[in-house]
Parts: sequence; structure tokens; C-alpha cells
Amino acid sequence: MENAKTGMKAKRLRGEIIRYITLFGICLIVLFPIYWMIITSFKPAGELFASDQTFFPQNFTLQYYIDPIDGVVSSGSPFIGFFLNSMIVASVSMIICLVIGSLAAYSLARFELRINKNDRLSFAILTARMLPPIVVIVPMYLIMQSLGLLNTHWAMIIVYTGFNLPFVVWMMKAFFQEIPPDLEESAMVDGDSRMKAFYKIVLPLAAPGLVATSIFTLILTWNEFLFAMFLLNSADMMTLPPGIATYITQYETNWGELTAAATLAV
Amino acid sequence: MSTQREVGKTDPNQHPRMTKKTKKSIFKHKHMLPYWLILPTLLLIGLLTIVPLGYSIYVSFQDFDTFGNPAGFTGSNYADVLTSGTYWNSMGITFAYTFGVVAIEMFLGLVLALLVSKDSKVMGYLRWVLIIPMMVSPLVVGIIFRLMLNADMGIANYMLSAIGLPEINFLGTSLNAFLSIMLVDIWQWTPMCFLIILAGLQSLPQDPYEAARLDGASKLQVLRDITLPLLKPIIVVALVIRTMDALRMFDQVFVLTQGGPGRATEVISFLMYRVAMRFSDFGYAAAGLFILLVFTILLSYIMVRTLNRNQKEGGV
Repeated sequence: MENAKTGMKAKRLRGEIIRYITLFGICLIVLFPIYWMIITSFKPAGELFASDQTFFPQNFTLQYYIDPIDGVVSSGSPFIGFFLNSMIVASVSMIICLVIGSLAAYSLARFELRINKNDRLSFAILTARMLPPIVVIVPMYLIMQSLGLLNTHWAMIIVYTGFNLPFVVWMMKAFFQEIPPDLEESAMVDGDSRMKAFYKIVLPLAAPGLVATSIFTLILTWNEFLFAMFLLNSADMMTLPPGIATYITQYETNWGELTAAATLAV
Repeated sequence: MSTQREVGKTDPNQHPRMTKKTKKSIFKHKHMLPYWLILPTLLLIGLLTIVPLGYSIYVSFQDFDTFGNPAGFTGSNYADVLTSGTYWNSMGITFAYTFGVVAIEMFLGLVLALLVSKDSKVMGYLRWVLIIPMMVSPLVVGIIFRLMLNADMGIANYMLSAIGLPEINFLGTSLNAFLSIMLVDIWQWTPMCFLIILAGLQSLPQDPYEAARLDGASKLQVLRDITLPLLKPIIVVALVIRTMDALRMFDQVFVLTQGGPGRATEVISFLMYRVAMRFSDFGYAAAGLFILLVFTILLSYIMVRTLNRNQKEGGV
């Protein structure tokens, strides 16, 4: 009996060891590419192309980080501009999304809408998220062109707001549904209007949900490349992803600048 | 307690404390309010999805001259697309790629989720590490791998030769380039499958496991007969999301191969980008994308249907 038990224990221990070794290996695979990017951005030009690759730069250089900020880049335009453009587009569209989206989410979570029998409307909204954006990219380009919005931040803000809204509505709806309605009702009994109760009681309670949702929308917007590539073509207006892509030219790739910009973008 | 929980749902009629009178004053008096609240969202989503979609059908029947100006109606765009070898080549690549990466990512995601499903502090940290790739911009991921897979100065070949293996021209030949693109996608998006499946695993009911343990079922049996069937709905979700995303993959191809060598990695979104932006043939691109949409919808419908039916027949 004792023997069998220790045998089992040894077997389980071996299993655990194998599990941790596997996981450690996987973490290496996950982290190495990111490590390599960061390291490359610190390597001086001579080391970049050396036949002996090193896993740690022999001489640190901050050159690639300083240059883009001064706007002295061999190709393309200053990194700081891309960064600001991304900030503007991402934050404005996030705010619009959260305001409009949480109102709609509140409406769906609390009221029985005649147009929302069996949650049909909610699913229609979700379907809009499932639509591959690439399909509407050509009409979107032509529409923005005829509105004269090509190459403006507004074009990006409108597009990103539209694509993130369904997501925001669904997330916020779930969060609102977790808040018991009694709280608002007692506020309304005390004389507050529905909207005031929403603003004063429901929103603060849903704050964690708001934060989570805004982080998700920020990440999505920050990383979006395809629409930015289509709708923006002047370097002054570009957000980070297409901006970084300008570092890759037809003939040469400026690895130092590229990896520095990519590191900062992350 | 149970009534309390139901209150959280959309039905205000079930509220226990709400008498007929208050219901009237709150819900009837301002019965337009909820519609006003939801109106902006519906308007925006309508403007940004239904209008462009309708417009894209209109555009797909239009002829465009070489400067990208509309020049009359034509049905030839669809004929051009459907008879174009380039288009079907891209379709084939896109679907082969999608099936490949989604299958591998689902499998790896499931394995990873099972490996870290135990709750402990270390596992908590590990989960954070494992989802890092999906937070990085796909464009940046493309850049990293372009750097690492570079035939002359890339670290991948350096390591291969260091352990005595022949160097590989990762992006140079058709098959290698295709596999490299897949590799990049798997690196970046396995974490997403992992995350969704892990969330599913953690919300599974514990009772069947207790029963299985009492019956003395082996780990493999538990996995096959309990975990997988219970996970099916969540697996469908992950499958559909990943398939939709993989079908429109653009960034990695743009950075890594530009569709090359030749047209070996020219996925559909990249082909359409080329056609629309470089050759200003918007009609052709709109037609091509509309056909893609039809395929996408069909595919997701089939996926959901088959998996749902299996589940019913399985009768967990």
C-alpha cells in the first residue's frame, strides 16, 4: 500500500516537472521574438549585420531612439507625429464609442424594446462586428473620398468608432446587467430622473467594466493597419502602424529605426 | 434570491417590488427614452456597415477607368473576377492558410489551456506571459519575424547553422514563404484560442469530474468524454472568431512578403489592396470582396451548424 502511494507520488511529481519544463520552453518561444526586437533596436549598425550574432548588444546605442524624435530619419517622417496621430485617433474614437455605446447598452440591458424581441437587435449589432471589414473597405474609401475626408483624422475616428461600437455595446450590456436595478429605482424614488440615476449610480458601479472595455478598444485601434493604410496617405496624418511601415522601403530596410519605432509602439 | 437574479435581465415586468403604478410612471411615461438611447448606436452602425455594404454592391457593377473614375455600368466585374486565375489563386491560398493556422492554433491553444488550467500563483503569471503575443500589433509582429527570418542576417538561420543544420531561405521559395506566414500567425494568435478556451475551462461545472473520479476514469477518458464535449460551445466561438480574422489577414503579408515570391502568399486582402490602390480598379475589388463575403458567411454558417448538430447527437 505504502509503496503504491509513493509510486503514484513520484509519477505525479515527474508529470509536474515535465509540465513546467514544457511551459518554460513555450514561454521562451513566446518571449524571444519580442526580446530580439528590443535588443536589435539598441545595436549599433556595425553589429546589426555582423556575421556573429550576439544575444546581447556589445555596445549600447540610443541613436535610433533619439533620431526619430528629432525628425532626422533616413526615410519617412518623424515618429513622434505618428505617435500623436495614433493618440488622437484612438482616444477620440474610444470616448465617442464609450459614450454612445454605453447609452445603447443601458437601453438594451434595462428596457424591453419592441424592436428587440428575443434579443434580435442585440444579435444584429453583433453581426455588424462579425462582418469582415475588408469587404467594406473599397466603398469606405470612395465614400470618404467624396466627403473630402480622405487623409484626415476624422475618417479614422469615424471608421474605428463604427467598428468598435458593437463590441462596446455587448461588453457594457453584460456589465450593466450585473448591477441590480433596485439601486437606480431607489434613486428615482428620491426624485432623480432616469438619466441622472444612470449617471450617478450605474456608471460609477460599472467603472471596472468601462475601464476594461476602453482598454480593449484602445488596443484594437492602436494596432489597426489595414484601414489606416487605405485611408491615410500623407505622412503627417498617419497613425503608428502605417507610419512604421514607411520605414520599410522598396530597397532597404532601416532595421535600427524600425525596431526602435516598433519597440516604442508596443 | 432567484427573483433578484432575474431582475438583472431585460424584463422589467418581473420586478417584485414594482407595483403597477410605479411601472407606469417609470416605463410608460418616458417610453421613448430607451429608443433615444439606442438611436445613435444604430445610426452609426447602419451608416458604417449597411450603407457601405450596399454601396459596395453598387460599385461592384460599375466600370472604372484607369484613373479610378466611374465610367458607366457593367456586369463584367463579376465575370472578370470569377474567370480570373489570380483571384482563385488568392482564394485558394487564403483558405488553405486559414484552415491550416486555425486547426493548429486551436490544437495548441487547447493543449496550453489544459497545461495551465490548474490554479496557482505561478500559473497566473504564466497566463499573462502566454497572452503577450496577441497584444502586439500584427504589423510589429511581422517586422520582428522579417528581422528574425531574414536569409542573410536573421537570427533563425544563425541558430540553425550554429547547431549544424542547413540554412533555410525562409521567405525565398513559395512553400517556405507560405509556411513562414503561417508560423507568424500561429505565434501571434494561438494565445487568443488559448485565452478563450481557458475561460471556458474555468467555467465548467465540477460535478461530472467528481463522478468520473469516483468511477476511476483515466485522464485521457476524462478529457475525451467530459472536457471536450462540454467545451464545444466555446470552441465554436473561438473557431469562428479565428476563422473570420484569418480570412482577412493582411498585415503580415504586407510586411513579410508583399505577396511574393511570385504570387505564392498573395492572400485575398492583399490582392484586393493591390487592385484597388495601385490599379484603381475599384469595381473589380468590390466584386471580389463581395464574393469573399458570401464565402465567409457560408463558411461560418456551416461551421456553427455542423458543430451544433454534433453536440446534439453527442447528447452530453
